[in-house]
Amino acid sequence: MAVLVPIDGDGDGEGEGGRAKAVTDPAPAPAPAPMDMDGDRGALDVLAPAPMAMDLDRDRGRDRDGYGDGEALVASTRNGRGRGRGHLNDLPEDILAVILRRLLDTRAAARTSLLSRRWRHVWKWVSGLFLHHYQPHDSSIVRAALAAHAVHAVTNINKLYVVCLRSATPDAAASWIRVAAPLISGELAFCNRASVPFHMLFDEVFSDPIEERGALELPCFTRATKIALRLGCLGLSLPPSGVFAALRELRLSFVRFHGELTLDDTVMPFLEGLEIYSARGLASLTLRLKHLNWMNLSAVRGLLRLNAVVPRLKFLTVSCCFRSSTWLVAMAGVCIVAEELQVLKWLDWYCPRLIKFSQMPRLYVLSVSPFYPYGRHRQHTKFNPSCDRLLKTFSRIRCLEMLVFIEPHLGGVNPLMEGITRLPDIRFLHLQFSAHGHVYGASVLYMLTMCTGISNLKIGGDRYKDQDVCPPNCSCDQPPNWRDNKDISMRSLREVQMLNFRGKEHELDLLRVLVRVATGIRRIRITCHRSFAAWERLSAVIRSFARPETSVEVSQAPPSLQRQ
Amino acid sequence: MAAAAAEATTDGGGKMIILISADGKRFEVTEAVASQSQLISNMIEDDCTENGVRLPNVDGDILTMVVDYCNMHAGDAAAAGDTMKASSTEEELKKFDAELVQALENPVLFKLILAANFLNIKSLLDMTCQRVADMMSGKTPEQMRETFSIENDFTPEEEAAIRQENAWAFDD
Repeated sequence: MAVLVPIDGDGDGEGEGGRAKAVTDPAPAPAPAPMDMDGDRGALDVLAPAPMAMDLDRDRGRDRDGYGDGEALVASTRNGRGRGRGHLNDLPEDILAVILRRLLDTRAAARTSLLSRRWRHVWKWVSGLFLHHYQPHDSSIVRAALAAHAVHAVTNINKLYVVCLRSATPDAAASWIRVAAPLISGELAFCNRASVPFHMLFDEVFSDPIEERGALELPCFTRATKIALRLGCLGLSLPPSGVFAALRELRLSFVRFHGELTLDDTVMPFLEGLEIYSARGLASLTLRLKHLNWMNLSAVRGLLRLNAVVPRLKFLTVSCCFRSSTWLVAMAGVCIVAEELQVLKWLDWYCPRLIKFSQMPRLYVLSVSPFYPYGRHRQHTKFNPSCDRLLKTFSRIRCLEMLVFIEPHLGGVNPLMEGITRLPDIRFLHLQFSAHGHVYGASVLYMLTMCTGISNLKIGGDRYKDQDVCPPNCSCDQPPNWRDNKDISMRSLREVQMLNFRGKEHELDLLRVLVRVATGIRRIRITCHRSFAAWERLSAVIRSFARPETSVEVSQAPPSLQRQ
Repeated sequence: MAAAAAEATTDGGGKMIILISADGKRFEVTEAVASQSQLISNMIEDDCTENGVRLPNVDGDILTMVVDYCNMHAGDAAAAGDTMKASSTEEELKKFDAELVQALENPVLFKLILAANFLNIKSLLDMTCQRVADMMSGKTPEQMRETFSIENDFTPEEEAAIRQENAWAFDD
């Protein structure tokens, strides 16, 4: 019989041999997921807040993954007090530290030093520090906390999260960052101007003139594994020397650069993930990173030159960096050498003369956007050709994702669908609509005429709450005979999936057409929008026109997957 | 041979393990349920659970809760590749967890924390620790002492010294 020796609280180490087995290795950090593979997140989310390390809920989740406190669990052998009498004081220091970390507030944790002698230093066992300061010029709280925590050096800092609600001066930020640099063995996150709403910061990055706030010089973090800086339009410069020897992930957002940035293996030899979100002043970005696995460049305003040699890159998202015509005039060019690339989300302007990709033989997901099937604005006439050029660059891709915009007030505009003339040879087509309540059947059928060999079709309807109802005879129903389409034959189509189905007649019409032109459909999967109350009856309706051998699955999206 | 006989199996075919609390109560659970304890999971791997696993520092009433929790959450672990019956929905689990942790009296909560730590059930440990953190949150040191029956063994002078030493934490 196995008997587990009770652990006694005298710290004699007796129990350690038996206890050690119970200790798991801290789980590896969750794999970065800068973009989703199956496209559910969709291109629409490009402008939504990127998953930031600054999110406290996520931090709690992270702890749950065993990332944070794994080592604390190991230490508990020394102080475990067996069955206990049922007091908080029965808990060993390392568990108390886990509890204090969960306050997500280091000042509150440190105030427990006043409880009793036993508690005096417990807060220093906490390996994650969460600090706020309010005064732009004064970050002394952060410095004092770091100094006090370091006095007994019970544990390394594996997470430091600092928030300044207002606009910290570069000096105030630099003063604590310099202190922190040698202390952090895990993750640094700094969020400046945290009280300013996200969209206002975003607008500010794109406004002229932008307020000069000075620049923070980042010291070298030799042991940090992850750095996430949301700078609130503060400038940033990297140290002239030093090696970020442990850094795996770098995220920079709302940041100003001054001209050029070069990241290479001599500075960040193990960087695996890079995100630059909403930045300006970065005219030239040069990357020579042999371990880089994923990269996300979004809204890097004024980027004129991008030169990346990233041989192991698998996931690349570029969005809204080159869209502004003001900058296109001066654009010097983009060259991306990434022969291992698997997923390319190029949600941006494209022209093969200025934007060059290496061969990408492993590429299997291509995401392009935006495409406007109707419209009259300049951007429509500009972006459809750009989208078309990108589609022509690749002859064969397993999965193509397209974001299709239909503007709210169409009036009598003409269809522009023919702006797309050819699709690569694909197997999966995913069309994500932002249609503002308009009919999208005609657009879908137009796309299908160019890829009649696909096996899977996924159509994402409007995600957002009920939009403007389009008027009778709205252009979106053009050409009007799409419901009678008899020209195409989708013999290979096996599976149709529709998301955000709202039960509108035009959605059912589209499904009817698909059933008619694709005789081999085996499976129809519909995920209904929360607003569609009668969704349970939909299955019977679809079965009434689907072939008997087709499986029909209807479900409703759980609330967490929808914003509205 | 004897060991093999002791290994009961469920209808579903999963191996059963017997957990024995400090006060001698026996709990029969499937391997999948028990494996949520990293400690027991390691013992299963090392093949030393045949005659039951004695847990001399976990009382029967606490082990009852732990087993309930693990039964409820077995689906999570099953998702990792084991074949279990359809797991509870996420919403049900959340509700179960919230009710479990809210209903606990302090002494039971702390014992449950110790048990979760000893058995190394990370999700239970996290949840219970979060509960204590929530109880601490927003309280003055005096209120915390009261809530958690902590005796103040500082002299007033020492208290003043600590306040000064950690002024950054106490200043408003």
